[in-house]
Amino acid sequence: MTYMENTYICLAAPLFLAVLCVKGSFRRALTFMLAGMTCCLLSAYVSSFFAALFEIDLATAAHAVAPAVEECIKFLPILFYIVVFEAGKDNSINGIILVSVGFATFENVCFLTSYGTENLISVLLRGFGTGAMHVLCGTAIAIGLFSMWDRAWIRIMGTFAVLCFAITFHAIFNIMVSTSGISLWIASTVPMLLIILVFAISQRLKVI
Amino acid sequence: MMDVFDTAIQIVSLLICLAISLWFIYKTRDKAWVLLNLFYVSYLLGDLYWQAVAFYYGDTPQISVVSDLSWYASYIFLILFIFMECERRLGRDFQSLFDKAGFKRFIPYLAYPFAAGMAVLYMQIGKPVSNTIYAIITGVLLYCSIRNVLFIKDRYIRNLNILVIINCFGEYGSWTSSFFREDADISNPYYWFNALISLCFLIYLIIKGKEVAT
Repeated sequence: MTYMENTYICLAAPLFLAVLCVKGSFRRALTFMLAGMTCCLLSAYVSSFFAALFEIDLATAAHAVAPAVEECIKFLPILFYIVVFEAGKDNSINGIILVSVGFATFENVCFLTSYGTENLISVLLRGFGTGAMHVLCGTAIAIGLFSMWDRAWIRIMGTFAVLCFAITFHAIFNIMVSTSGISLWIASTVPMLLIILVFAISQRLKVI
Repeated sequence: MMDVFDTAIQIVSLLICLAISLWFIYKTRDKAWVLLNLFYVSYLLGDLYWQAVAFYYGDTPQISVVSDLSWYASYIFLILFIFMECERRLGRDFQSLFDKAGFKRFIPYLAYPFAAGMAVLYMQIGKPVSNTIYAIITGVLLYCSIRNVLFIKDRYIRNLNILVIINCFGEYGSWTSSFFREDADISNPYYWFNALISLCFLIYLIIKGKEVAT
Protein backbone atom coordinates (compact mmCIF):
# COMPACT_ATOMS: atom_id res chain seq x y z
CA MET A 1 0.00 0.00 0.00
CA THR A 2 1.44 3.36 -1.04
CA TYR A 3 0.18 6.43 0.75
CA MET A 4 0.49 8.79 -2.18
CA GLU A 5 -1.06 11.73 -0.35
CA ASN A 6 1.54 11.49 2.43
CA THR A 7 4.37 11.27 -0.08
CA TYR A 8 2.88 14.22 -1.93
CA ILE A 9 2.70 16.37 1.20
CA CYS A 10 6.28 15.51 2.07
CA LEU A 11 7.55 16.39 -1.41
CA ALA A 12 5.33 19.36 -2.10
CA ALA A 13 5.79 21.16 1.25
CA PRO A 14 9.35 22.43 0.59
CA LEU A 15 8.42 23.36 -2.96
CA PHE A 16 5.38 25.25 -1.72
CA LEU A 17 7.47 27.18 0.80
CA ALA A 18 10.03 27.94 -1.90
CA VAL A 19 7.26 29.25 -4.17
CA LEU A 20 6.33 31.73 -1.44
CA CYS A 21 9.92 32.85 -0.93
CA VAL A 22 11.36 33.20 -4.45
CA LYS A 23 10.25 35.61 -7.16
CA GLY A 24 10.08 35.98 -10.93
CA SER A 25 10.90 33.10 -13.23
CA PHE A 26 12.09 30.92 -10.30
CA ARG A 27 8.66 31.14 -8.72
CA ARG A 28 7.00 30.25 -12.02
CA ALA A 29 9.30 27.27 -12.53
CA LEU A 30 8.67 25.91 -9.03
CA THR A 31 4.92 26.44 -9.43
CA PHE A 32 4.95 24.39 -12.62
CA MET A 33 6.83 21.58 -10.90
CA LEU A 34 4.38 21.66 -8.02
CA ALA A 35 1.50 21.62 -10.52
CA GLY A 36 3.08 18.58 -12.21
CA MET A 37 3.22 16.70 -8.88
CA THR A 38 -0.37 17.66 -8.10
CA CYS A 39 -1.43 16.44 -11.55
CA CYS A 40 0.25 13.11 -10.87
CA LEU A 41 -1.69 12.69 -7.61
CA LEU A 42 -4.96 13.67 -9.30
CA SER A 43 -4.27 11.31 -12.21
CA ALA A 44 -3.89 8.41 -9.81
CA TYR A 45 -7.32 9.17 -8.32
CA VAL A 46 -9.02 9.67 -11.68
CA SER A 47 -7.42 6.55 -13.21
CA SER A 48 -8.53 4.47 -10.22
CA PHE A 49 -12.04 5.87 -10.60
CA PHE A 50 -12.22 4.94 -14.29
CA ALA A 51 -10.67 1.52 -13.65
CA ALA A 52 -13.42 0.85 -11.11
CA LEU A 53 -16.08 2.28 -13.42
CA PHE A 54 -15.06 0.09 -16.38
CA GLU A 55 -14.37 -2.88 -14.07
CA ILE A 56 -10.88 -3.53 -15.40
CA ASP A 57 -7.82 -4.92 -13.69
CA LEU A 58 -4.75 -2.83 -12.78
CA ALA A 59 -2.60 -4.09 -15.68
CA THR A 60 -5.24 -3.10 -18.25
CA ALA A 61 -5.83 0.22 -16.49
CA ALA A 62 -2.09 0.97 -16.67
CA HIS A 63 -2.07 0.92 -20.46
CA ALA A 64 -5.69 1.65 -21.42
CA VAL A 65 -6.82 4.28 -18.92
CA ALA A 66 -3.83 5.84 -17.13
CA PRO A 67 -2.06 7.28 -20.23
CA ALA A 68 -5.17 9.10 -21.42
CA VAL A 69 -5.95 10.44 -17.95
CA GLU A 70 -2.33 11.43 -17.22
CA GLU A 71 -1.74 13.25 -20.50
CA CYS A 72 -5.04 15.13 -20.28
CA ILE A 73 -4.56 16.18 -16.65
CA LYS A 74 -0.93 17.14 -17.33
CA PHE A 75 -2.15 19.42 -20.09
CA LEU A 76 -4.66 21.27 -17.86
CA PRO A 77 -2.25 23.53 -15.88
CA ILE A 78 -0.65 24.76 -19.07
CA LEU A 79 -4.02 25.32 -20.70
CA PHE A 80 -5.00 27.38 -17.66
CA TYR A 81 -1.72 29.30 -17.87
CA ILE A 82 -2.23 30.06 -21.58
CA VAL A 83 -5.91 30.99 -21.32
CA VAL A 84 -5.85 32.96 -18.07
CA PHE A 85 -2.39 34.57 -18.16
CA GLU A 86 -2.18 34.78 -21.97
CA ALA A 87 1.27 33.28 -21.79
CA GLY A 88 3.68 33.50 -24.70
CA LYS A 89 5.19 30.64 -26.65
CA ASP A 90 8.52 30.33 -24.80
CA ASN A 91 7.01 30.53 -21.32
CA SER A 92 4.34 27.97 -22.19
CA ILE A 93 6.78 25.50 -23.74
CA ASN A 94 9.06 25.72 -20.71
CA GLY A 95 5.98 25.39 -18.50
CA ILE A 96 4.83 22.18 -20.22
CA ILE A 97 8.27 20.65 -19.82
CA LEU A 98 8.46 21.62 -16.13
CA VAL A 99 4.98 20.23 -15.44
CA SER A 100 6.14 16.98 -17.08
CA VAL A 101 9.28 16.93 -14.95
CA GLY A 102 7.25 17.46 -11.75
CA PHE A 103 4.87 14.71 -12.83
CA ALA A 104 7.68 12.26 -13.60
CA THR A 105 9.47 13.07 -10.33
CA PHE A 106 6.43 12.35 -8.20
CA GLU A 107 5.62 9.20 -10.17
CA ASN A 108 9.20 7.98 -9.69
CA VAL A 109 9.11 8.67 -5.94
CA CYS A 110 5.88 6.66 -5.66
CA PHE A 111 7.51 3.85 -7.65
CA LEU A 112 10.55 3.87 -5.36
CA THR A 113 8.44 3.77 -2.19
CA SER A 114 6.52 0.79 -3.62
CA TYR A 115 9.34 -1.26 -5.15
CA GLY A 116 12.45 -0.17 -3.23
CA THR A 117 15.76 1.22 -4.37
CA GLU A 118 18.05 -1.83 -4.22
CA ASN A 119 18.46 -2.41 -7.93
CA LEU A 120 20.48 0.47 -9.39
CA ILE A 121 19.97 -0.57 -13.03
CA SER A 122 16.21 -0.74 -12.59
CA VAL A 123 16.19 2.64 -10.85
CA LEU A 124 18.32 4.18 -13.60
CA LEU A 125 16.06 2.78 -16.32
CA ARG A 126 13.00 3.94 -14.47
CA GLY A 127 14.39 7.41 -13.76
CA PHE A 128 15.64 8.18 -17.23
CA GLY A 129 12.94 6.23 -19.10
CA THR A 130 9.91 7.70 -17.34
CA GLY A 131 11.47 11.15 -17.17
CA ALA A 132 12.30 11.12 -20.87
CA MET A 133 8.87 9.77 -21.82
CA HIS A 134 6.98 12.46 -19.87
CA VAL A 135 9.22 15.24 -21.16
CA LEU A 136 8.88 13.88 -24.71
CA CYS A 137 5.08 13.80 -24.51
CA GLY A 138 5.12 17.33 -23.06
CA THR A 139 7.41 18.52 -25.84
CA ALA A 140 5.17 16.91 -28.47
CA ILE A 141 2.16 18.76 -27.04
CA ALA A 142 4.16 22.00 -26.96
CA ILE A 143 5.09 21.58 -30.62
CA GLY A 144 1.46 20.79 -31.36
CA LEU A 145 0.33 23.94 -29.57
CA PHE A 146 2.75 26.47 -30.91
CA SER A 147 4.97 25.40 -33.74
CA MET A 148 2.74 23.97 -36.42
CA TRP A 149 -0.32 26.11 -36.96
CA ASP A 150 -1.15 29.74 -37.34
CA ARG A 151 -4.94 29.77 -36.89
CA ALA A 152 -7.08 29.02 -33.85
CA TRP A 153 -9.28 26.23 -35.30
CA ILE A 154 -6.27 24.44 -36.82
CA ARG A 155 -4.41 24.83 -33.53
CA ILE A 156 -7.27 23.27 -31.55
CA MET A 157 -7.58 20.32 -33.95
CA GLY A 158 -3.83 19.90 -34.20
CA THR A 159 -3.33 20.02 -30.43
CA PHE A 160 -6.08 17.43 -29.92
CA ALA A 161 -4.39 15.20 -32.51
CA VAL A 162 -0.97 15.62 -30.88
CA LEU A 163 -2.51 14.88 -27.46
CA CYS A 164 -3.98 11.63 -28.86
CA PHE A 165 -0.59 10.82 -30.34
CA ALA A 166 1.14 11.41 -26.97
CA ILE A 167 -1.44 9.21 -25.20
CA THR A 168 -0.75 6.27 -27.53
CA PHE A 169 3.01 6.66 -27.19
CA HIS A 170 2.60 6.75 -23.39
CA ALA A 171 0.36 3.65 -23.50
CA ILE A 172 2.89 1.62 -25.54
CA PHE A 173 5.61 2.73 -23.09
CA ASN A 174 3.50 1.60 -20.11
CA ILE A 175 2.90 -1.82 -21.70
CA MET A 176 6.59 -2.36 -22.34
CA VAL A 177 7.88 -1.18 -18.95
CA SER A 178 5.37 -3.39 -17.15
CA THR A 179 7.48 -6.39 -18.24
CA SER A 180 11.13 -7.14 -17.57
CA GLY A 181 14.11 -7.92 -19.78
CA ILE A 182 14.65 -6.60 -23.27
CA SER A 183 11.23 -4.88 -23.48
CA LEU A 184 12.04 -2.77 -20.42
CA TRP A 185 15.39 -1.78 -21.93
CA ILE A 186 13.88 -0.87 -25.28
CA ALA A 187 11.01 1.06 -23.68
CA SER A 188 13.40 3.04 -21.49
CA THR A 189 16.01 3.83 -24.13
CA VAL A 190 13.65 4.80 -26.99
CA PRO A 191 12.30 7.95 -25.24
CA MET A 192 15.85 8.98 -24.33
CA LEU A 193 17.01 8.57 -27.93
CA LEU A 194 13.95 10.46 -29.17
CA ILE A 195 14.66 13.31 -26.72
CA ILE A 196 18.17 13.59 -28.15
CA LEU A 197 16.74 13.46 -31.70
CA VAL A 198 14.12 16.14 -30.93
CA PHE A 199 16.81 18.33 -29.40
CA ALA A 200 19.07 17.89 -32.44
CA ILE A 201 16.23 18.60 -34.89
CA SER A 202 15.00 21.62 -32.93
CA GLN A 203 18.52 23.05 -32.95
CA ARG A 204 18.76 22.53 -36.69
CA LEU A 205 15.29 23.63 -37.73
CA LYS A 206 14.77 26.08 -34.87
CA VAL A 207 11.35 24.47 -34.32
CA ILE A 208 11.14 25.17 -30.59
CA MET B 1 -1.85 -16.04 -38.37
CA MET B 2 -3.66 -14.06 -41.05
CA ASP B 3 -4.18 -11.20 -38.55
CA VAL B 4 -0.46 -11.05 -37.76
CA PHE B 5 0.43 -11.09 -41.48
CA ASP B 6 -2.13 -8.38 -42.21
CA THR B 7 -0.87 -6.06 -39.47
CA ALA B 8 2.75 -6.80 -40.40
CA ILE B 9 2.10 -5.60 -43.98
CA GLN B 10 0.53 -2.41 -42.67
CA ILE B 11 3.32 -1.78 -40.15
CA VAL B 12 6.04 -2.40 -42.76
CA SER B 13 4.40 -0.08 -45.29
CA LEU B 14 3.97 2.59 -42.60
CA LEU B 15 7.61 2.25 -41.52
CA ILE B 16 8.75 2.69 -45.13
CA CYS B 17 6.51 5.76 -45.53
CA LEU B 18 7.75 7.12 -42.19
CA ALA B 19 11.40 6.78 -43.17
CA ILE B 20 10.89 8.36 -46.60
CA SER B 21 8.80 11.23 -45.22
CA LEU B 22 11.44 11.88 -42.52
CA TRP B 23 14.05 12.10 -45.25
CA PHE B 24 11.86 14.59 -47.16
CA ILE B 25 11.35 16.66 -43.98
CA TYR B 26 15.10 16.87 -43.62
CA LYS B 27 15.54 17.71 -47.30
CA THR B 28 12.69 20.17 -47.89
CA ARG B 29 11.83 21.48 -44.39
CA ASP B 30 8.25 21.64 -45.60
CA LYS B 31 5.41 21.66 -43.05
CA ALA B 32 3.30 19.47 -45.34
CA TRP B 33 5.82 16.65 -45.01
CA VAL B 34 5.69 17.02 -41.21
CA LEU B 35 1.90 16.63 -41.30
CA LEU B 36 2.11 13.63 -43.62
CA ASN B 37 4.74 12.16 -41.31
CA LEU B 38 2.51 12.72 -38.27
CA PHE B 39 -0.31 10.97 -40.15
CA TYR B 40 1.93 7.93 -40.65
CA VAL B 41 3.33 7.97 -37.10
CA SER B 42 -0.12 8.22 -35.51
CA TYR B 43 -1.49 5.39 -37.61
CA LEU B 44 1.60 3.32 -36.85
CA LEU B 45 1.33 3.94 -33.10
CA GLY B 46 -2.29 2.74 -33.16
CA ASP B 47 -1.21 -0.46 -34.91
CA LEU B 48 1.76 -0.91 -32.57
CA TYR B 49 -0.41 -0.48 -29.48
CA TRP B 50 -2.82 -3.12 -30.80
CA GLN B 51 0.05 -5.49 -31.52
CA ALA B 52 1.77 -4.77 -28.19
CA VAL B 53 -1.38 -5.68 -26.25
CA ALA B 54 -1.81 -8.84 -28.36
CA PHE B 55 1.85 -9.77 -27.83
CA TYR B 56 2.17 -9.09 -24.10
CA TYR B 57 -1.33 -10.02 -22.94
CA GLY B 58 -2.19 -12.64 -25.58
CA ASP B 59 -5.45 -10.99 -26.62
CA THR B 60 -6.78 -7.97 -28.50
CA PRO B 61 -7.28 -4.89 -26.29
CA GLN B 62 -10.15 -5.11 -23.83
CA ILE B 63 -10.60 -1.35 -24.22
CA SER B 64 -9.55 -0.08 -27.63
CA VAL B 65 -9.76 3.61 -26.77
CA VAL B 66 -6.00 4.17 -27.03
CA SER B 67 -5.73 2.74 -30.55
CA ASP B 68 -8.83 4.66 -31.54
CA LEU B 69 -7.32 7.91 -30.25
CA SER B 70 -4.26 7.30 -32.37
CA TRP B 71 -6.31 6.61 -35.48
CA TYR B 72 -8.46 9.71 -34.85
CA ALA B 73 -5.22 11.69 -34.64
CA SER B 74 -3.96 10.25 -37.91
CA TYR B 75 -7.10 11.28 -39.80
CA ILE B 76 -7.05 14.74 -38.23
CA PHE B 77 -3.49 15.12 -39.47
CA LEU B 78 -4.64 14.00 -42.92
CA ILE B 79 -7.42 16.63 -42.91
CA LEU B 80 -4.89 19.29 -41.90
CA PHE B 81 -2.45 18.05 -44.54
CA ILE B 82 -5.04 18.39 -47.30
CA PHE B 83 -6.16 21.79 -46.05
CA MET B 84 -2.59 23.12 -45.92
CA GLU B 85 -1.78 21.71 -49.35
CA CYS B 86 -4.85 23.41 -50.85
CA GLU B 87 -3.88 26.65 -49.17
CA ARG B 88 -0.27 26.43 -50.33
CA ARG B 89 -1.15 25.66 -53.94
CA LEU B 90 -4.23 27.82 -54.37
CA GLY B 91 -3.81 30.61 -51.84
CA ARG B 92 -5.41 31.34 -48.48
CA ASP B 93 -8.79 32.13 -50.04
CA PHE B 94 -9.02 28.85 -51.99
CA GLN B 95 -12.50 28.29 -50.57
CA SER B 96 -13.75 31.04 -52.88
CA LEU B 97 -13.13 28.62 -55.78
CA PHE B 98 -16.00 26.43 -54.66
CA ASP B 99 -19.21 26.86 -56.58
CA LYS B 100 -21.81 28.78 -54.59
CA ALA B 101 -24.68 27.92 -56.96
CA GLY B 102 -25.82 24.84 -58.84
CA PHE B 103 -26.65 21.29 -57.93
CA LYS B 104 -23.01 20.19 -57.70
CA ARG B 105 -22.44 22.09 -54.45
CA PHE B 106 -24.79 19.70 -52.59
CA ILE B 107 -22.91 16.52 -53.58
CA PRO B 108 -20.11 16.80 -50.94
CA TYR B 109 -22.74 17.06 -48.18
CA LEU B 110 -23.76 13.45 -48.94
CA ALA B 111 -20.61 12.45 -47.02
CA TYR B 112 -22.31 13.31 -43.71
CA PRO B 113 -25.46 11.14 -44.02
CA PHE B 114 -23.29 8.34 -45.38
CA ALA B 115 -20.88 8.51 -42.41
CA ALA B 116 -23.80 8.81 -39.95
CA GLY B 117 -25.64 5.85 -41.50
CA MET B 118 -22.57 3.64 -41.40
CA ALA B 119 -21.93 4.68 -37.77
CA VAL B 120 -25.46 3.62 -36.83
CA LEU B 121 -24.80 0.24 -38.46
CA TYR B 122 -21.49 -0.26 -36.61
CA MET B 123 -23.04 0.80 -33.30
CA GLN B 124 -25.04 -2.46 -33.33
CA ILE B 125 -21.87 -4.21 -32.18
CA GLY B 126 -19.45 -1.34 -31.50
CA LYS B 127 -19.28 1.47 -28.99
CA PRO B 128 -21.44 4.55 -29.64
CA VAL B 129 -18.84 7.17 -28.66
CA SER B 130 -15.96 5.90 -30.80
CA ASN B 131 -18.25 5.27 -33.77
CA THR B 132 -19.68 8.79 -33.49
CA ILE B 133 -16.20 10.33 -33.43
CA TYR B 134 -15.12 8.21 -36.41
CA ALA B 135 -18.26 9.30 -38.27
CA ILE B 136 -17.49 12.98 -37.62
CA ILE B 137 -13.84 12.68 -38.67
CA THR B 138 -14.41 10.56 -41.78
CA GLY B 139 -17.45 12.67 -42.65
CA VAL B 140 -15.34 15.85 -42.63
CA LEU B 141 -12.53 14.10 -44.52
CA LEU B 142 -14.88 12.77 -47.20
CA TYR B 143 -16.73 16.08 -47.45
CA CYS B 144 -13.48 18.04 -47.98
CA SER B 145 -12.03 15.59 -50.48
CA ILE B 146 -15.23 15.24 -52.57
CA ARG B 147 -15.57 19.03 -52.61
CA ASN B 148 -11.95 19.46 -53.69
CA VAL B 149 -12.27 16.84 -56.43
CA LEU B 150 -15.44 18.48 -57.77
CA PHE B 151 -14.31 22.10 -57.74
CA ILE B 152 -10.52 22.29 -57.87
CA LYS B 153 -8.81 21.96 -61.24
CA ASP B 154 -5.26 21.60 -59.89
CA ARG B 155 -4.02 18.14 -60.89
CA TYR B 156 -1.98 17.49 -57.74
CA ILE B 157 -4.82 18.47 -55.39
CA ARG B 158 -7.30 16.36 -57.37
CA ASN B 159 -5.03 13.29 -57.30
CA LEU B 160 -4.43 13.72 -53.60
CA ASN B 161 -8.14 14.01 -52.83
CA ILE B 162 -9.07 11.06 -55.05
CA LEU B 163 -6.57 9.03 -53.04
CA VAL B 164 -8.15 10.23 -49.78
CA ILE B 165 -11.56 9.06 -51.05
CA ILE B 166 -10.05 5.65 -51.95
CA ASN B 167 -8.44 5.51 -48.49
CA CYS B 168 -11.81 6.22 -46.83
CA PHE B 169 -13.42 3.61 -49.08
CA GLY B 170 -10.78 1.13 -47.85
CA GLU B 171 -11.48 2.04 -44.21
CA TYR B 172 -15.24 1.68 -44.62
CA GLY B 173 -14.71 -1.56 -46.55
CA SER B 174 -12.60 -3.06 -43.78
CA TRP B 175 -14.99 -1.91 -41.03
CA THR B 176 -18.02 -3.27 -42.89
CA SER B 177 -16.27 -6.57 -43.65
CA SER B 178 -15.32 -7.02 -40.00
CA PHE B 179 -18.93 -6.23 -39.08
CA PHE B 180 -20.26 -9.13 -41.17
CA ARG B 181 -17.37 -11.61 -41.06
CA GLU B 182 -15.05 -12.52 -38.21
CA ASP B 183 -13.14 -15.43 -39.78
CA ALA B 184 -9.38 -15.16 -40.34
CA ASP B 185 -9.53 -16.50 -43.88
CA ILE B 186 -7.77 -14.92 -46.85
CA SER B 187 -11.11 -14.74 -48.68
CA ASN B 188 -12.35 -12.30 -46.03
CA PRO B 189 -12.52 -8.87 -47.79
CA TYR B 190 -11.31 -7.24 -44.55
CA TYR B 191 -7.73 -8.22 -45.36
CA TRP B 192 -8.01 -7.00 -48.95
CA PHE B 193 -9.32 -3.63 -47.83
CA ASN B 194 -6.49 -3.39 -45.30
CA ALA B 195 -4.01 -4.11 -48.09
CA LEU B 196 -5.66 -1.33 -50.10
CA ILE B 197 -5.16 1.07 -47.18
CA SER B 198 -1.48 0.08 -46.93
CA LEU B 199 -1.14 0.75 -50.65
CA CYS B 200 -2.77 4.17 -50.21
CA PHE B 201 -0.12 5.09 -47.62
CA LEU B 202 2.58 4.47 -50.19
CA ILE B 203 0.74 6.34 -52.95
CA TYR B 204 0.44 9.48 -50.78
CA LEU B 205 4.21 9.55 -50.80
CA ILE B 206 4.40 9.07 -54.55
CA ILE B 207 1.93 11.88 -55.24
CA LYS B 208 3.60 14.27 -52.82
CA GLY B 209 7.08 13.24 -53.99
CA LYS B 210 6.10 13.91 -57.62
CA GLU B 211 4.84 17.34 -56.62
CA VAL B 212 8.20 18.11 -54.99
CA ALA B 213 10.02 16.90 -58.12
CA THR B 214 7.97 19.16 -60.40
